[in-house]
Amino acid sequence: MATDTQMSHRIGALEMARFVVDGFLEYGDLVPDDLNAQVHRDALAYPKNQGYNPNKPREFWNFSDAVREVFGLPAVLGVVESLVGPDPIHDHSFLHTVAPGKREAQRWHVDSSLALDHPRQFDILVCYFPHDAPAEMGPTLVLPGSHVRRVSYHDVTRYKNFLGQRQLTGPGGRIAFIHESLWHCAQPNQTDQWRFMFKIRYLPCVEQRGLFNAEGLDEAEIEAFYNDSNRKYPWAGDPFVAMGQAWRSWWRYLKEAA
Amino acid sequence: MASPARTVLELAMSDTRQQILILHLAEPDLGAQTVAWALFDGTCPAGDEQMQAGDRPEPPYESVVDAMYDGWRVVQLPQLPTYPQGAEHETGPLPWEYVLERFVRVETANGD
Repeated sequence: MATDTQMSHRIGALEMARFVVDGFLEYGDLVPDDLNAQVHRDALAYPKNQGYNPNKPREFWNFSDAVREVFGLPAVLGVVESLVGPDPIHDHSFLHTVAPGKREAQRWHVDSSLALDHPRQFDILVCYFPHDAPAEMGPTLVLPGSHVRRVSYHDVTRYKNFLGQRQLTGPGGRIAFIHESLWHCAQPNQTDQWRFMFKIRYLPCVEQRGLFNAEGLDEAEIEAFYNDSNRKYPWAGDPFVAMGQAWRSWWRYLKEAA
Repeated sequence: MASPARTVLELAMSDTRQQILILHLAEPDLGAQTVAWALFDGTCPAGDEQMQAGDRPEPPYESVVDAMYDGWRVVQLPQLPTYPQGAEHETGPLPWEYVLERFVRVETANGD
């Protein structure tokens, strides 16, 4: 059971509904500027072009005191706990880099196969950009709303462009909390600067329901939000009806305490 | 009648190349709005950039019909859906996927 202090940092009902529809939440104001700057310095000092080594699943985490401080901030923990509950497992983390001048985009993919109870049962990918990441630097491209579609890992690599695709651009310190089934890919870096993104995968240890702050929950407001979202994603075309069903079914589950 | 080996050789020396355009529409109607698009270009040498994820914010054609008018041939129509009981609200990949092709002439460098 969350304490009152912890609950004060949990996301509200409308933000939870936004996660249901979009498949991610992003914030630009959770981390102080000086801490972002220190993580950026650590990233620059860290050896470049290291591939992910599954036998060393927390290399940058162990390397940077500052990045551990970021993920210990109550405001960051509050969002994490709202989605995957208290004391989630830090499955692995990695400092993702795109070299200056890298021209190739990554292919569209998802970072998971299908959970038995997709989309209710999910890990989260927490993507932290410590420095400014304009479009030309190649921050992650996502397809908002795609997380409710039943696809696995590389099923989506044949796709190239969608109406509604969106890059996670913005000033330094942005953190995106992403459902494991959201379609995404890294983008080319046209600048002469390294692009860094630190990503942690958190696994839940509890049923993912009743975790957000439901104080002041207004069902009429939530239903209006879902109605307004029905045609939000042109890429979904006519099957948006099925997506609306998925949102509402998931919502009924989410708002009940486990 | 040409032997199979001869046919393969002729193909290898052909000066035409295939381009595959995949358009996903909002509805099954071939005039419906394009919502996703991908091009795989047989004129593009290995190592050169094909269409990449995220590199074209606007579709090349508003619909399959528009692409047909520009000379593309439709080689695949998606099957219309069936709804097994209990799976009426299942979703997956984009359903209205049309595959188009055209052949374009390329400069060949077969020596003198």
